Amino acid sequence: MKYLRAGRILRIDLTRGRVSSEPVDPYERLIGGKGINMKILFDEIGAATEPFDAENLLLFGAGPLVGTPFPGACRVDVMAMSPVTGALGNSGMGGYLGAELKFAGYDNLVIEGKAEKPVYLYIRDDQVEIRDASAIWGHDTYETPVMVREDINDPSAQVVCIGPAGERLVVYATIMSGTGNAAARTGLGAVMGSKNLKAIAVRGTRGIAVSRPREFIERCRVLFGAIRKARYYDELHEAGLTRIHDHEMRGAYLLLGSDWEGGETICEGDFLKEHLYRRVGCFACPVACFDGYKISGAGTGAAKCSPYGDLSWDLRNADLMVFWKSYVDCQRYGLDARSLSNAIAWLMELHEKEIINEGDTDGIAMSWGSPEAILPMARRVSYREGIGNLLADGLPAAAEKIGKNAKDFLLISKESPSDLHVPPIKTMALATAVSPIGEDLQVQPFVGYASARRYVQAEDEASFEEAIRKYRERTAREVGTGEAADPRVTEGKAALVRREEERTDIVDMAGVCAWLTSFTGLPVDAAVIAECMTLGLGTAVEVDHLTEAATALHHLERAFLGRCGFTRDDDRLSKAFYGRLRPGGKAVPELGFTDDELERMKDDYYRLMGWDLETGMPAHETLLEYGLVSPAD
Amino acid sequence: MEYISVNHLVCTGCRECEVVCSLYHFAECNPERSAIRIIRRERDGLAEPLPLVCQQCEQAPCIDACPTEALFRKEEGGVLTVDEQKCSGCGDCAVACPAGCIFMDRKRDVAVCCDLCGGQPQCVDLCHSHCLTLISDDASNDERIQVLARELEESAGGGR
Repeated sequence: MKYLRAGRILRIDLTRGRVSSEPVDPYERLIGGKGINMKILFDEIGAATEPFDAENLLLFGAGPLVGTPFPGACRVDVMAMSPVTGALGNSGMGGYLGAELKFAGYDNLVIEGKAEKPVYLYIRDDQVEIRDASAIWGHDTYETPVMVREDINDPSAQVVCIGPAGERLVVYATIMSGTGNAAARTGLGAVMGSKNLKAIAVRGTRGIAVSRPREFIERCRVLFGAIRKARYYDELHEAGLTRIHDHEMRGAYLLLGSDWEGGETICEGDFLKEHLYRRVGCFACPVACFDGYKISGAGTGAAKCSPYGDLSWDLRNADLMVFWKSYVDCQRYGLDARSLSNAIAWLMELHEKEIINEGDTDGIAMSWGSPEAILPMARRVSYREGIGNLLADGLPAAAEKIGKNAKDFLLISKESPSDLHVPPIKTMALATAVSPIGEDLQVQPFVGYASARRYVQAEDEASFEEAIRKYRERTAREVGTGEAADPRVTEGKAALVRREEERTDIVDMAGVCAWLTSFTGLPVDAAVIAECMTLGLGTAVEVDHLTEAATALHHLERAFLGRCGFTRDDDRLSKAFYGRLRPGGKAVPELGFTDDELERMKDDYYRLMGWDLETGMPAHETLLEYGLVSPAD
Repeated sequence: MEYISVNHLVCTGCRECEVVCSLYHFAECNPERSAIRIIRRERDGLAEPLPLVCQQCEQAPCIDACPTEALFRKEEGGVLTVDEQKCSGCGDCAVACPAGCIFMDRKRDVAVCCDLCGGQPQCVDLCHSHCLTLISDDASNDERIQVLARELEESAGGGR
């Protein structure tokens, strides 16, 4: 009897119309979710594969805890060769697909090949069909799930899909559920579009066995109690991450500085109060972080976290209705709001610097904050209309076409557009530089921001020291040096970043949302995951086992980048990141980073990982030692 | 009379109740076997979940509809019980309930209905949104099933 895992990997070859399945057992060392996805991608994708080749794989992985009552165990990891980075593409999504996939009997889904014409997948337990999607193609991500459910006559099926952006291979396209969950980053929607795959519908009735069910429930109950007692739980439960994000965004702009006088955030003004329709959330989640809105004349949908800032402050737009309309467009068309925001901000910057003018942007002046500039862009990019077509193949390609010094103003890493309200202090500069996907915002060492803000607010050195004393104590405890808490020095930053990566990789493998961890001050950690996996599987899982798997996963990601031709030199940030911090309009080079400082932090980081300092890659022996390759490879 | 009260307006649709119900009773996570199920309607990018669970009606149409007398109460005011030996799996009870709060376990082809977990319903304990509450009142109030039935009608087209 298989416990906790469904036991099988479902493989669908769209070129040949073939369906098969195989046991998941050989992959279990990598736990599940992101770990198993990475192993499959590493084993099966060669260096010559291009993102839109039929040979590219589109992988979905639900970890061992997904589908159980473990709080927040809802995640599906989605992976492919990315059309944005040209190497690893990876994004996680919440919602209900992962649990349903497990109930249907599958831990992982491997989609290969390319259908001749638009199709969608219907998976109902052992019954797997590749069905005609020609009548659905062209519809947006709100309409598509409804149409698919009607077509299969199963209102209970869970559906994810692409919108017009994915159909047109816009590299910033997302894969969406019908209710706001998105695998938004690194262009996975475009990969799905390149396979002519419009949607995936899943219905499962087989269930997942648990070895010690009563104890498992009891442990979940205790964990739920601890979550409810956590300091920020009431806040999270009432307003999702929205109020916290508002607060963080103010903090971010404190460090970034801006000559824009700013607007109200969602919670400071009446937006949330006036328009919140109901809270919605993901499978088994006690937080329910999505704010659901129904706004007459402006659209309906669910939102959380970063997009609030992406399409408001980052574009110097104070009109939150402009934010909302643009966000709903992104959702419906299946376009990553963060990438769109970055692209619009870049055009606005180019407009301000007179590198482009109205003539280059379909007659629209790309002025900061202009609703006329912001509102049409989601559609233009998604449908490849006018200037949107220029952006749709990615910002580096657009910069080449614009010429002059347009590329000097890009805020990208590994070609992926960054979140603009993430200040490039030392910890974040390193985290972004070494991220295998250009930027992973689950990796944000808290102490980095907190101490940088204290530094900017402190009157003198003595009061600053006093303010960060507790952070020094914390980093001394966590990474062995109080220096890590000093935002001006490079010491200890690699260890802070690595610690965060490990935390997020463990939850991404187990299938639990990172927002249930210390990331938001909630108590899910490796220990409780190991405990519940033990109760679920009926065999002992130790924390060491999880951290070892996280390290193995990280080696694999790296080795995959190496195969794609990446080296140490690709672990960098674009030029515009340097000197971006200007609190109160004043440069603070000590908080930012220089080339020399970044290289030093990278040295520390590679040493921690045991990677070669010249190439930034793991040695073949390391992969052997972790059993990730066979001696014959 | 004890029953689980549903305030569907605050339900976030997390399905924790479904999964813990099946895990507690059948040692597996399988909402298709649960005695509480969430109907989820998705419209215009928004989900509107509606949890359905037996309201322990005094005048229970499900009992009347059962052709094999498999549904019964051990004592007056007691919890609705399925005699699995007698249950033929015909599903007449599920059809008879105005709000569809009796379900079929297709794995064993028997009816499942809420047994309040013997007094401490697991779903109520793990419901984060205060949507589910264990209520104990003496009043014969079969109207609550009608409230759910009206909501169910509103959710037409929604899935389990």
